[in-house]
Amino acid sequence: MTVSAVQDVHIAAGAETEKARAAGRPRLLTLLTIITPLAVLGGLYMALFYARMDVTQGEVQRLFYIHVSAFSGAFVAFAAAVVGGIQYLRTRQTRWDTLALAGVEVGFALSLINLILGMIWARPIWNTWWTWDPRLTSAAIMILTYAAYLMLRNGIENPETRRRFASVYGILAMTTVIATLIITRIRPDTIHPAVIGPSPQNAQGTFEFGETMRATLGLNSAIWSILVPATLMWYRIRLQNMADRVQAMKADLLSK
Amino acid sequence: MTENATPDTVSYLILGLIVGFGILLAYIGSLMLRYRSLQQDAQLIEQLGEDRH
Repeated sequence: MTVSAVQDVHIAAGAETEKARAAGRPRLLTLLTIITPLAVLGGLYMALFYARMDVTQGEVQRLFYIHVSAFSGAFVAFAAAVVGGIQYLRTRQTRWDTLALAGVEVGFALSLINLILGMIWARPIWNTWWTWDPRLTSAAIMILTYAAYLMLRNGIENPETRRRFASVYGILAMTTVIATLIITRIRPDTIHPAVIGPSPQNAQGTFEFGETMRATLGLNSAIWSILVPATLMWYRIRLQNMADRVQAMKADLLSK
Repeated sequence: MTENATPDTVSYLILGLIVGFGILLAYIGSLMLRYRSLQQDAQLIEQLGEDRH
């Protein structure tokens, strides 16, 4: 790291991270740390034991509740990365860049869960782990786009350039999320079922959406799109603040 | 009617749950490990700073 880069980190991280360290773990984060795992387990219980089993697909259909909800969570996290990117470009405050980074990393993990659960569901239902269907292809492009964000970000040495680049990239990358979301509406040749509204005519693996299924999906979506990303992103932000503090301490030590 | 019988797909459900929650737990573990490693770095730097004085 260059001297100017070290100084930059030192100035930016110093005040904020010292304050965060002094505050310890906020009460709300402690509460989230207790509530979120319990809520996830509660949602899982509903998916496994409360929701009616689909007779045409069998038990594997229950993965649907986590599969869809994980995408909802990824969407929220990626949206947070857009907010962080826009705000960073407007204000140049590093905390917004930290939010964007946390959003991308958490969104990446959740979209990976979404994709892999979809593959496992597809094996008995579509008789294949993977097919180059428009929805699956767009989801794969989305994940690769965000994987590239994380890799490229680490490759830029100058902090200011890195944050600016990451902000613009994070905003533009959202187009892959939106494309993944709407592709079942604009490409009638997809075989992927739609969750909201009628499925495309070629869709395979659709099922009748009963009352218990609706309630289970609603609850799981709420848990995975509010509690899970909020908790994980908060911890990721704390991690980044700690990294900035260590960087500032190193700079401080070297300057003495 | 056997052709309408519900398929036995429970093994895929179990696989999905193991992999899905495995990814989630691996990510949480990575957050914890990275945080612990940074804490150790901070302690080391503080120690080095004290040694210099």
